[in-house]
Amino acid sequence: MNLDDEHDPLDPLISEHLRGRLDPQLGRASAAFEAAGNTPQPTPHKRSPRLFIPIALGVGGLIAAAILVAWPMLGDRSPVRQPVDIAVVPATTKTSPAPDPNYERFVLWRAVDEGAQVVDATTPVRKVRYEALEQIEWEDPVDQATIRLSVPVAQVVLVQQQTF
Amino acid sequence: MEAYLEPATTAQLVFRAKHGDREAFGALIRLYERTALAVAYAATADASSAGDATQEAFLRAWQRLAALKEDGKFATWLCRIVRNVALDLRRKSHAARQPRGDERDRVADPVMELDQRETADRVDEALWQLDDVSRTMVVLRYYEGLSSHAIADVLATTATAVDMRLSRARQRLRTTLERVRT
Repeated sequence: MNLDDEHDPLDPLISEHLRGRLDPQLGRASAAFEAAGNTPQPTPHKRSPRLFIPIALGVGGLIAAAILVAWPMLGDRSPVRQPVDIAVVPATTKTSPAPDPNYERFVLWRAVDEGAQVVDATTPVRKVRYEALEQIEWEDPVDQATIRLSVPVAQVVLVQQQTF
Repeated sequence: MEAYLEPATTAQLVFRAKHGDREAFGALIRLYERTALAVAYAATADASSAGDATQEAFLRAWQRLAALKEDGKFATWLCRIVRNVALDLRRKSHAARQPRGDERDRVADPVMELDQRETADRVDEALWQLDDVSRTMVVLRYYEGLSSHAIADVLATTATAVDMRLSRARQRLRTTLERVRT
C-alpha cells in the first residue's frame, strides 16, 4: 500500500474496498420489493362501490367540464408551446391486479418533449410534459352495469441542461 | 452514471410508479440501489446493515411515493429516507465501527487473506475518521463514481462545497493511511 507512487493508489484502493464491501449487497432491495409483491401503494381513501359510483360520476363530470373550459384558453396563449418533437413513444400500463375481480385500472401515459427553453435568462432547461389518463372500470356483478371513470393528469417537468 | 445524465427518465419512471406501475419502481431500484447503498454504508459503517437499510428504504419509498412533490428530485428524497433508516438501524444495533469479519473476501491463501483484512481495516478506520457528510461524499464518489454535481444533487448542496469537502477528505484519508502504514 504505497501512497507515494506517481499514480496515486488512493483511488483504486478505496474503490476496490467499497466494491468488496457493498457489491454483495446489490440486488437485495429488488428481491425484497419483488417478495412484497402484493403490497399496494396506500391509497388516500377506500370507498365502498355503492359510494364510489356517484362520486366517480361527479368527479368525472367536473374534470370533463374543467377541461372543456380550460382547453381553448390554454391553446390561445401558447405560441411558444408548440411541441418541437414527440420524443417518447406513448405507452399503456396495466397495473397490478386489483383484489376485486370486477375492478380494472389502466394508466395510459406519454411524455412530450417541448424543446429547450431558458429560465431566469441564464439556465437552459428542456421542457417535458407528462400526460396520463387513468381509467378505472368497475362492473357490477349483480346487474352487469359498467362504470368507467377517466382521470386525465398533466405535469410539466423542467430538466436542467448542462452548459458547455 | 446513466441515472444522472437522464433525469427526465427518472422523473418519467417516478410518474409511472406513482400511478401504481411496479415495473417502473423496479427500474428505479436498479438505477439508485448503488447510491442508496453508498449513503447507508456511510451512515452505518457496516455493509450488511447498509443492505438492510437500503431494502427497507425502498419499500418505504414505494409506499410514500405520493408524498414526493417533484418527480425529478427522487434521488434526493430517497437518500433522505435511506439515511434516516440507516441511522435508526445504527442506533438500534450499535454495529457502527464494528465491521464484520465475515463480509471480507474469502481467499485460499491465508497470507493474502491476512494482508487483505489488514488493508480493509485501515481503509475502514480512515473512512470512519471523516465526518458524516464527507464520508458520504467519499463513498458516493468512490463506490458509485458520481460527479460533484450529482453528489450535490443527492445531498442537496453545491458542487463547490462537494469539491472542497472531497479534497479535504482525500488529504485526510491519505494522511491517516500513511500513519497507519508506518
